[in-house]
Amino acid sequence: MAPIVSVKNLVKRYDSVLALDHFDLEINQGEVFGLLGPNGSGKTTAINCILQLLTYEKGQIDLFGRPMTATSYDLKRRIGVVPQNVAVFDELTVYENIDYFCSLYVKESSKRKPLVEEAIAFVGLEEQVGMRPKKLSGGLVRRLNIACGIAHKPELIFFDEPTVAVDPQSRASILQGIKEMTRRGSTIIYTSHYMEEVEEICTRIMIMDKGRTLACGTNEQLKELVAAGEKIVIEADVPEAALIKMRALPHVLSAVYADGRLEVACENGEHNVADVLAELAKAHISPGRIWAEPPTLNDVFLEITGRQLRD
Amino acid sequence: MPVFKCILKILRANITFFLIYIIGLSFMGIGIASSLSSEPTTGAFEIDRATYAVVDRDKSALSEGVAAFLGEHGDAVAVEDDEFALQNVIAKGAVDYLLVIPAGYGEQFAQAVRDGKELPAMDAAYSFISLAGIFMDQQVDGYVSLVRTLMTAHPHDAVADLTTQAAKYFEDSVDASYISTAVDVSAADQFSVFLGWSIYTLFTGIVVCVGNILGVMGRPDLRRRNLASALPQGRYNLQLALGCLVITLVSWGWTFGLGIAVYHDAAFSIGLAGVALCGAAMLALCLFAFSFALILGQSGASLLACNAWGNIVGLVIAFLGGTWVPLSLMSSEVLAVAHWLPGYWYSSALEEAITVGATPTLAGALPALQCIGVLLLFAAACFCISLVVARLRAQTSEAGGNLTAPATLS
Repeated sequence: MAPIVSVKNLVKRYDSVLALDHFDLEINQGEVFGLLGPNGSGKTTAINCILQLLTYEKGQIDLFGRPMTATSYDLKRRIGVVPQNVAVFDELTVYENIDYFCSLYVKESSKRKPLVEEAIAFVGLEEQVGMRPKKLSGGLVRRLNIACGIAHKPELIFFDEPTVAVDPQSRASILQGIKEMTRRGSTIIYTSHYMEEVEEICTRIMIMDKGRTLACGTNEQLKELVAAGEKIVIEADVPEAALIKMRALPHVLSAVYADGRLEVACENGEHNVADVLAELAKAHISPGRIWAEPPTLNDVFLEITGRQLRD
Repeated sequence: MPVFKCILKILRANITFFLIYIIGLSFMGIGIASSLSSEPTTGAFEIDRATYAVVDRDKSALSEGVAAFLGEHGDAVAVEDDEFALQNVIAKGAVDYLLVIPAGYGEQFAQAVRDGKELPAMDAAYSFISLAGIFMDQQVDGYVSLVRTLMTAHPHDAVADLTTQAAKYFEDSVDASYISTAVDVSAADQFSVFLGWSIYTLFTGIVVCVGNILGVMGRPDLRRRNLASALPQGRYNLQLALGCLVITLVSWGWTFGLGIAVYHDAAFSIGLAGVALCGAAMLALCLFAFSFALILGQSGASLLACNAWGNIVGLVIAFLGGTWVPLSLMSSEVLAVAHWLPGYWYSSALEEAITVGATPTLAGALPALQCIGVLLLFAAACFCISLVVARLRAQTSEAGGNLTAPATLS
């Protein structure tokens, strides 16, 4: 079965800046594909090229197994877009906004009406249908932005940082909605700054920077790419001498002490915690709280790109 | 027709602008045109008597003569010789003219006449709400000068006699009456004034309403969303243009229809052909405003910017189109500038259309048609500029990116 999205060798320049450097992407049906990268890494440019909103110097883009062009309206009919910035009319009510954007895909008003009502219910804006966007809170406007992109029930949906500047409650609601759309069979491309969101909802993740793909795989596959198997955190007073001995232990990659917390990064090993505690006991150090955690996507990102996602 | 319907909803949300510029200002035009009255004037004059107060600290024959002279030409108001009362009477506008004759004024006056020196001054103050006080002061100056002349000529006569004699000279007056200009203001004239006023109404109204709609539809995020949708770009643009054109035509229809409805007598006097040419000229002006609004909309102008441009350019075009000052009163330099703006050609088209007659020939209608043609060229020029602006803007990522991507294979 052909992938839903296939991008090969895509090159896009903004004057002297290479925004996409021979970028490749393949997404299969039913996937929730996370596109991760710092600001300026090329995420939005990639999406805009796929949607034919931007020209590009080189490359081939296929959607649903067919070449995507600016006039591929039959393909566009199967796509939904939730842009990064809220793109709704301040002059129209909630209902009119959703109905307008749905009408760009579905002509017949009789078919459209149930779709619009379903979208309203899906994002939980039943009580605000007659309101204009300026009367809504930031979170509710974001939900409206989503409803405008999904009302026509697209098979492929682009979510470009939909949870930016959204309160935790609305964010949880949005993520829940995306999961529900996946259950209904939609394929989703999701870009975000928030690692925890991507970890939570994405079945496959691509990390990109400077217009290039750095890594791509499932959450687990990406975590296997990094050397650190687990991170042990201990609250204790640790002198420098004990720290040096700690670093010399087998499987220990690094040991950092700051603000009363010792963080020891270890390779995968069976007795890492026991070894570290034994070393502390030798140095007559009484630990406070102790816990171990697997590497996060943030650790993966940091190791691959050399910087934090939000840098 | 989703885009077309959306445009109407955007207009509904900003209906205030349509109501103010198109409906409200057109009624104002009716008011202005209707105020041109052909009612005859009465021809009768009535002398307006000013109020005055005199503080006579001299009590001489001359000062009493001055007070008596003022009594002939105005209505006296009693005021105390007190600093506060004197300030108050002027500050509150209780009198138009306040004259304080200082003590010893009569003596100093006679001495000055004998020595041939400058006359002593009296203190005078005027009301700030009318010029009557200044006029009265001029009369007093004239009176005092006349007394001096008489005193020089008859140095041995009593001052009281001289003041009485001087006052008699001022009793003479000149008869005045209106001269009939024999110009009757017809319904056609009023209709013409209304159509001239419509330069500002229509231009500003259309620029603000259409420019605002195009500005909203051209917002980068909305534009991207529209571009990414399944609605073909050609149909989107067509509906957008149609929606804006409908607003333009409704503005034209309302304004012209209102003019015809109110000044229906003008239609009979001007003739059907003349009225049709007037309508065509107004439509051409509306199309120019539409094209100008396209430039603003395509360049992403905000509602505030549309308002500013609409009003400023509208006022300039209306002024140089003779809305407030007739073209015939403008200097040749101003007229030379006016030729480069559509208001001049619109006014010229109206002037030619109104005089075309009930049964026009092509030759008779040609001057009006030529002016309308120039107006349409203005509209076409602006439309072309708007296309260039749209093209340039479409290529910027700020505007939502470019439209087409080349199908280049790797």
